[in-house]
Amino acid sequence: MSIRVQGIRKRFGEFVALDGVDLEIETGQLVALLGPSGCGKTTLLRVLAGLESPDAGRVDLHGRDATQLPVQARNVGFVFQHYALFRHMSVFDNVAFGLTVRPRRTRPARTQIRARVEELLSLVQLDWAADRLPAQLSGGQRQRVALARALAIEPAVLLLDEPFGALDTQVRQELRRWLRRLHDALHFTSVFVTHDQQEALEVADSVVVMNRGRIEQRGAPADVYDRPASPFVHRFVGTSHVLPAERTADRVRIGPIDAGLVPGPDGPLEARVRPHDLALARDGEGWPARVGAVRVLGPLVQVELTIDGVPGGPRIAELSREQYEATPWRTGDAVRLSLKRWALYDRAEAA
Amino acid sequence: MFLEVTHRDGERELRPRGHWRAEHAPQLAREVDEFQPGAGRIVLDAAQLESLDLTGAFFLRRLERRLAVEGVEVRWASPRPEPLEFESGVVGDELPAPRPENPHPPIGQVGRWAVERGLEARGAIAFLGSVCLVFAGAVARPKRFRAASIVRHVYETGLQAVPIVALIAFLISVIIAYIGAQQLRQYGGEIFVVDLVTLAVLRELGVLLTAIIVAGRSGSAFAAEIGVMRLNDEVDALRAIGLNVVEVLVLPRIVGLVIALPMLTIVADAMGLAGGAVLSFLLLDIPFNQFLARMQEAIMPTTFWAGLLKAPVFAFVIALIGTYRGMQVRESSRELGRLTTVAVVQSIFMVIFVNAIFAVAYWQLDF
Repeated sequence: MSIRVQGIRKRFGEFVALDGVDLEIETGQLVALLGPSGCGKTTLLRVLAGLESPDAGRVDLHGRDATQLPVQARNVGFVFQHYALFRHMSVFDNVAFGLTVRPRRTRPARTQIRARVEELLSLVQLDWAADRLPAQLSGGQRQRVALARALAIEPAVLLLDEPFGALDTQVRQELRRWLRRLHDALHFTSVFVTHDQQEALEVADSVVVMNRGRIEQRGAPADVYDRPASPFVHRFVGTSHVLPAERTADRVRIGPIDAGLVPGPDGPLEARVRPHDLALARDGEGWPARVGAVRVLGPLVQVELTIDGVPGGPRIAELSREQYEATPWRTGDAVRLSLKRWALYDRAEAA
Repeated sequence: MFLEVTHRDGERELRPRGHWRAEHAPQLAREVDEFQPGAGRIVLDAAQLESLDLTGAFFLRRLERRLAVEGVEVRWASPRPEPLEFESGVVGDELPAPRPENPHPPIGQVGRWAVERGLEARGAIAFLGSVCLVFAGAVARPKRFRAASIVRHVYETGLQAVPIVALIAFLISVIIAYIGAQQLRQYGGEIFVVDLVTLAVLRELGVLLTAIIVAGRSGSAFAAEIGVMRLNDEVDALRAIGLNVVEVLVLPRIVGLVIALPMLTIVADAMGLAGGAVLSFLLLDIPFNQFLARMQEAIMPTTFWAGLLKAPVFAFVIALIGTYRGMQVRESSRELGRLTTVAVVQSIFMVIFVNAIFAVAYWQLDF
């Protein structure tokens, strides 16, 4: 077990950033902390690093209590969203800095430092830029320098705070795949913070969804997407449509659709559905609905649907191009809407 | 009247009427907010509604939501107007959280203020404590003083400030001498202008003016430099690499300024005396050698030191406040500007305050 945190609480004045967080991360995993801004994910990361001290709770790193350890004693590498490179130092000096400032007893020899920095720079494919200043590099390149700098001290745990947040989409995608490869090659434990669900689902071994200072769900990316533990998770990891449902004598009906037996008290429920789990047909079982705008977006086709008698704006169904071409819907068509897959939640939970 | 209320068979009927459009927004807001839901069922009827745009729909939905919050049963007699559906789709159906009762009553505010001040004082004392600890550590192992960094700060806060400090010291003492000359001439005591200028400059003005200029120049620079590093996460990056931030960023600035300010004070003293001498020569025809001779008589052996002694204390105060405020910057550049200003205002205030303490102490000690 590489990281274990128990009962972490942290407040900033009135604002509760972390409200009792327990988390275990195994050695060698790449874990994403996912959540909206203000959910406490960055604070949790900074508590792991020792940049922030928790009001209560305990942090263990590699089986040792590290709650009171200062950053420098924790052997963690930290990568910041805005790179945080030292502006007046060359790329080489930036990467070497963590080694050259060590006290003489633990400092490697000058030649060793040089060799290590050159190795790291070639690892991040920036060996040609050793003498440049950070300002002369692009955002993606700077973030790779920051990564090399974090790796220079040979950390057992690498912590990344929205590492790709400041980059444009293409560089971002490239860099996150590259991070995954780097992680697989070097076998450290990584934790990264992101508010981008795609990024989390694509890169991580395990996703931790946070909301209001608590962990809502922890699981493999596919699990979190397919079996969200709460309406919040459903809404956050993808588009989520709400449909009213009703339970009488353990039998659940989502509008006209029979959703089978789900034991529980009688009363209204909330069904949540992904856009690609909505199915359209000319007739048959399902909600009567009307087709609004139809948008063809490359491989996907979005169809807006207004369901008769159900409040809330139009629902958007996502069809594959093939499905759409087999039955091309037009604005104004009357359709029957059914569900391929759904998740049920109590109303109270949803509020 | 956009909202008409009628009572019938124990039910109330609520009829929005006329044009619920953006141009009537203020009145719509007023009428919707002033409506008292009361108890009992309400029937809504849009039959007399002539037009409804999205602004109108917004207010109509606000009405609906208020009724829902109050637990009033609502039924639409006419079809629910279509823009409302759209509005629900865009804004969502969640009810607004009920506004909490005034969360900060007056006494609570006093308490809150006191607690905030207390916490801030604790933070400042903790900062002072860590500076002292690091300083003690550095005295034990002088290598940790970071000579290169100190030299840079002496250069930036000291050498680069020489022209402005010299000019201002010169001008101020010219003004003092001029006013003194005007007053003292009435008694034929022009020669006492020398005493006035010498004592004022050496004991008070030289060091005080220098400290105020430096507070404006370097106190703000310290706060801004460290604040920018904080915004850039560079401070955290230093910590993550394993460096003591106080040792790397704070101590060199404090030591640098403590070295630089006394030197600047000497420059200011010299220029101040020169200003007095020049004015005395031009206005009062006191030749330079007579000015010097009179000056010798006016001062005591301690006069010069009485002023210079204050310089390192002022320097420490200015540098401590500047670096502390810089370290307080978190996350927003607006804070950076605010805290830079706070640093300057506070350090100037503290310089004058400490100067007053010195004045009382000197008086008591007959220094």
